[in-house]
Amino acid sequence: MSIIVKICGINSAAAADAVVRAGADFGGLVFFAKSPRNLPVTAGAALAERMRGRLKLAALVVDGDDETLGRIAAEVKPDFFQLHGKETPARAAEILARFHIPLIKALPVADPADLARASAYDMAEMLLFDAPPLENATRPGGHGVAFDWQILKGANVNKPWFLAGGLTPENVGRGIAASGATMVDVSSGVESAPGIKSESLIGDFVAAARQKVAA
Amino acid sequence: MTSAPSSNSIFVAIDTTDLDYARQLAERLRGHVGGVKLGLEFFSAHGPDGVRAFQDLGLPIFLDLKFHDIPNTVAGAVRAAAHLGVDILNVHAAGGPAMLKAAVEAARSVNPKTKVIAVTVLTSLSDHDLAAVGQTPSAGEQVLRLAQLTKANGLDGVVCSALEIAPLRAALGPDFLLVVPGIRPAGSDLGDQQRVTGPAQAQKAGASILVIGRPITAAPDPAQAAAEIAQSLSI
Repeated sequence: MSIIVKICGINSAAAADAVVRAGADFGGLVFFAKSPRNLPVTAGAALAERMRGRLKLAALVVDGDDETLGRIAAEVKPDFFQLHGKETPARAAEILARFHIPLIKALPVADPADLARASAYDMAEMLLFDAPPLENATRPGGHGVAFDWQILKGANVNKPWFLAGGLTPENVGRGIAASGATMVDVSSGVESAPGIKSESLIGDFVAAARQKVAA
Repeated sequence: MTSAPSSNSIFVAIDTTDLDYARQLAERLRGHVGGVKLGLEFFSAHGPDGVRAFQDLGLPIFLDLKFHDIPNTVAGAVRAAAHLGVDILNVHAAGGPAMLKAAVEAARSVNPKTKVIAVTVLTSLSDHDLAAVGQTPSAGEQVLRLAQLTKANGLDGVVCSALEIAPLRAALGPDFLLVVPGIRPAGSDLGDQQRVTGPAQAQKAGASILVIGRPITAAPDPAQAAAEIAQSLSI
């Protein structure tokens, strides 16, 4: 079984081409004004066209209203909506019923109790656990939210899930080994500066993620 | 200070004379910010002991005292500040090449990892104000000139306004620290800031460190406010 790789925050044609070339399985486009990777809907639609058919497209939204989601659904035509905010299970169900686009629900995970919330999101096709690695806690300027990847290993989750948060080409192998993840998501870990995707890091990340299983 | 992928680029500006409050605030924000900035108001009230009170929190400290004096005096002040274990300290670039060199040498002699950055033109100065003190180039030209002087003398970066990020990043390369105060997330009270640049725009333009004060410190739940900004930047 090959590790499924999702590259998120694609915000340029060069990055889109690099993601396709690297053979990633999913590409994520961010529609959230407060993100340095935010795309206007028309720009997102153009990038989606560039990649369509060569990978699955996820449109990342944060507590988006129906009007925003409707525009993205119509113009970007994503394969998935990735709900990255505080969407409740009821709101997620409503979005699925209205737009008929499968959902990835992102859930921040800081301790094992957070995993319990996952079961409420039955309507989601997949989950994404945003779990910053423990090592960042000790790094100056690090995120500071400690999370032990091993907690995910025992997670009783009955649907596909991505490991996300602080992954890099350098640590993704350890993340996969420690968490038992079969799907990984990366954004800032393949950037040379915030919001600037690096073509070489994208290639390195996909290679590193898949090498782990072959090894 | 360079880009660990999930590293938090937010430094919270703690401007107060109340030491207990300042410490409690920093404690609550630990884990949600990348560091704290302590300025002249705090330092004038509490001095080096006030800075030491933050050391056990494990948060990087930017000591914003903007030294500007003859080279020997600045070197001495920088050495003393570096001994406090702060991660970033600053001087005025207008102190000139010899002062800049003396500052960076003094810091390196104590701790090679201490970052020394410079203030170029105070953001409160208009072109008119600059002319009044005999500086005829526009603020924009003067900022660029002083930033280049700063880099040429071996300092690690400059403090700059949000509007200066893009031109300075282009002129000074990817590794020069651009520390940007006055960042306010959308929806926060404008306070006395006229122009607003959000954290995402500043980071995208090339800022290394975002200094954010009241939008975090005056929020009903400062930790939550900081966490939300950090989370937005990571998406």
